[in-house]
Amino acid sequence: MNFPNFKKRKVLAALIIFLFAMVSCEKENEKQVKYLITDSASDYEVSFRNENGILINKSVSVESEEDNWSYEFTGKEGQILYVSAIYKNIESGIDVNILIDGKIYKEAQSLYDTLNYVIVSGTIPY
Amino acid sequence: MKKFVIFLLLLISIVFVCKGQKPAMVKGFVLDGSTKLPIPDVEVIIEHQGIGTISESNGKFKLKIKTQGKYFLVLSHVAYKNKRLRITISDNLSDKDLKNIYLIPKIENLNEVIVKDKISKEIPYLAITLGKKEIEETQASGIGDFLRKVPNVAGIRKGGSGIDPVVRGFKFSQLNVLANNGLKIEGGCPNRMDPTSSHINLHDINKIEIIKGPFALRYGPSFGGVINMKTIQAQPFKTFCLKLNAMKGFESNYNGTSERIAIKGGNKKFYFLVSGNRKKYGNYSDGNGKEVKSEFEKYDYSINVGTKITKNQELKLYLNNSFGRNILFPALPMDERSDDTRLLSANYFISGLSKTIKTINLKIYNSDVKHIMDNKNRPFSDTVVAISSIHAIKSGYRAEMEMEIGKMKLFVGTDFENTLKDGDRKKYLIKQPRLPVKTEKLWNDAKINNFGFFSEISTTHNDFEYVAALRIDYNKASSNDLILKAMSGKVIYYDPDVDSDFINFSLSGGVKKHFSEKFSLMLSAGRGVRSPDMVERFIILLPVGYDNFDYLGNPKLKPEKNYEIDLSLKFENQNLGIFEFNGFYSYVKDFISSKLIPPSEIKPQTKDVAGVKQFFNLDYVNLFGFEFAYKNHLSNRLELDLRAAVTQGINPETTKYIIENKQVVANEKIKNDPLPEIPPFEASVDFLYKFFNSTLIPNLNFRFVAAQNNVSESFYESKTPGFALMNFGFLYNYNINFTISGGVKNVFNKAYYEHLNRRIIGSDKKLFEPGRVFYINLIFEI
Repeated sequence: MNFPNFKKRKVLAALIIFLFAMVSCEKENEKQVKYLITDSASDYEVSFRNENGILINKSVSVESEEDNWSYEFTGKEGQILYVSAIYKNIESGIDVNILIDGKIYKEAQSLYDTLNYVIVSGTIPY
Repeated sequence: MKKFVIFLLLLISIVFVCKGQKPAMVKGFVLDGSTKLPIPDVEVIIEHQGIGTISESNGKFKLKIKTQGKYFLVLSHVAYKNKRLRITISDNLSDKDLKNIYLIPKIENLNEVIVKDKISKEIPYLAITLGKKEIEETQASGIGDFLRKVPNVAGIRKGGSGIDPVVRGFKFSQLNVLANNGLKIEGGCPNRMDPTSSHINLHDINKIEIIKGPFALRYGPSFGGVINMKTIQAQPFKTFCLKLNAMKGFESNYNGTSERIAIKGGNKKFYFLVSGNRKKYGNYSDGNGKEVKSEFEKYDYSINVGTKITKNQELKLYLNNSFGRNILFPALPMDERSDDTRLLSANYFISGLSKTIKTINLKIYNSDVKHIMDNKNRPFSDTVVAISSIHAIKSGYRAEMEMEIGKMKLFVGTDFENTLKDGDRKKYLIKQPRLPVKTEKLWNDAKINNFGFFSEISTTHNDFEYVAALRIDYNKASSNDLILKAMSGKVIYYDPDVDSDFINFSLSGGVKKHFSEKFSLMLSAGRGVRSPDMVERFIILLPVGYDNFDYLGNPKLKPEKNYEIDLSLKFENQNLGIFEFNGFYSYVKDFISSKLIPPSEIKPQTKDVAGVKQFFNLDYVNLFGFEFAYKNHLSNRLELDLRAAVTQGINPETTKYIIENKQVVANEKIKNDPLPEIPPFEASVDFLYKFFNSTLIPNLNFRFVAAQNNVSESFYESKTPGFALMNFGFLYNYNINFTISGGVKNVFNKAYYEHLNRRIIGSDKKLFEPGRVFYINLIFEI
């Protein structure tokens, strides 16, 4: 039988542990997603896909432009994101954002347009 | 994965609990006494001890002796006189380096000996074998990348990995790419993100055989060449032992790391090999410092067990599970999100059945590829997310009997392969979340069966060697109806007549004349036939070609036939070195190409493509070219290796479609249009120096690639500028257990691209090759 000597075995053991530590470590692939709607002086309708991919519709009432709406969840890489909004008062505007891990990933704005939805969509990047 | 790790650790623990004395290592190199060239396959044994080995391709051998004493080392090779050396292993069992051992060619018995040797060992057609030595010397991202070092072998790059081999201008299904003499793999992606060669890890390879031309007919239908990837196998040991091999590598630029661990062991009766690999590479920067989105992650494990049922019967089982994650392809509309592949094979071998029947080899196999890709990294994915999921299965067998009848060697056998493919593409219109998800069939339960019978006979007479081979294939393809519907339910394309079958005859012959011990000439001629593949028969409107069109399969395609003639000569001289030249000419009948379908008949489904093309048979095309190699030992330590090659392909008459504003507006006839994706003339020279008795071997490589100006007009191919590169590498054998290889690729950080690199999707810019890369690999072997 072939046997490594003690010193070589120690080196080898360290190497194997290192290799398997590298192999076994799976990178965490979840990210924090936040839909954020700001700067609307008017009530608005919002539609968004939640963490399970289900489309949810919601009416939001605002008292001033300082009132923000947000929805947060933890999503996996590649997950489809969608948020849209349409406001009711022609004198208003709106700012729709998707943030990933606290940073703006996608955004869109509208001003004086009550006919078209402001849509922001994409996928959580890998 | 966890179970695999536990299993490996258990095996390793067996090594550690064993206690014993360190054996002495006897090592050296076997060289030809006249040419000073290394001699592979020399049997090296310790007389009366039952210890032995075979020299490697570089002549290197090593043996372990456990007890001190005096021994006789016997070196034997059928073409050389035996050599018997007395060696003494001292009390402290210190290693013994015998350095260079020269064997004298056996000239006096040449006829008798050579006849026997060539019957039993040589492949009687032009074959290139790359072994572990070449793999250790070459830093490559995978097998496709590695093969690019062979003259007239290039690769189509679409991303950081999965480079698709091209041999003398033949590619894709024109090449028979297989593993271990018979295991075949069907990739999942219609755009060949995952060619066969990408499903085997380069570090699992023991050697790769490349047989150019349609001459080798024993491994399946052969049209343009065979690439046979032979993985490291479990082997019996005289007495029970365990051996471990571990590797850790790093490449700058990609910030890429790779790891490998393999344990093999067993005894005379049962033996095994367990291995695992992991490779994680980031994006690379080209020579201009621009980032190329090319990251990938791959990992796999293999289990290979064997048993000697009796002295002359062996059964081997092989399992390989490999996984690819987030593999980016900037030249394709999608990236590979995941690839889960399982390879299974069982091999039964029996030898010495009778005086005539020497061996019987049976193999059954199954490959199962689950491939998922999407466009989530593309700019338009915030409008439409497309996810394709494909399942590709290939199963088959190969049975071969080897016979010797007088001086003739005869192989007869049969093989069968069954290819199944099914999959769809889901389109999510994410800005319109209330619309339903659109599902399109990419493959509709498509199936191809190929049953083959083959025979090969070889013999020698005086200074001549002869070989002839025959192959008959019955190929049958079927699928559910090819149908594509719009969201509204309107039928875009429908073809219910999709079944086809063919009987294909392939044959080849060759003769080699040895004018002297040092000079030989070989002439080979053959006809290789291949039936159309899955994409060519059944694809439904996907941009799978080189040009910017949606492609439509054609179930009525005829098989392609390659009529090829090769002339090879080899000249060896002790002072002048070794010269080899191979020239070839191919006449390809019913060449599978494509033609435009008018927009009135069918409209493309992919954004920004110019129209729809359907596969069809051209009358014929020609390919021709040569390879040249020169090798010499400029001194005992300095080696020179020079290679050059070129291929040209001509389409005698074709049509070019004039495109304006992404629409076909006219067409024109073109005479003698070069075939697309043919690499330009290339030459490379290697200087290799052996320091400290071959302990340290640096290698300086210069590669010169000419501009490719012979480009296909009908495929809108763009010209590629020439370039020159310098690469440096070294191999340092610190001791018998520890080796370091390292170097610098693209030393001068040249910004360049190969002619076969595809364009980045949505632009006219080619995918550049990596800029300067520093790399290092640490290899342990015990």
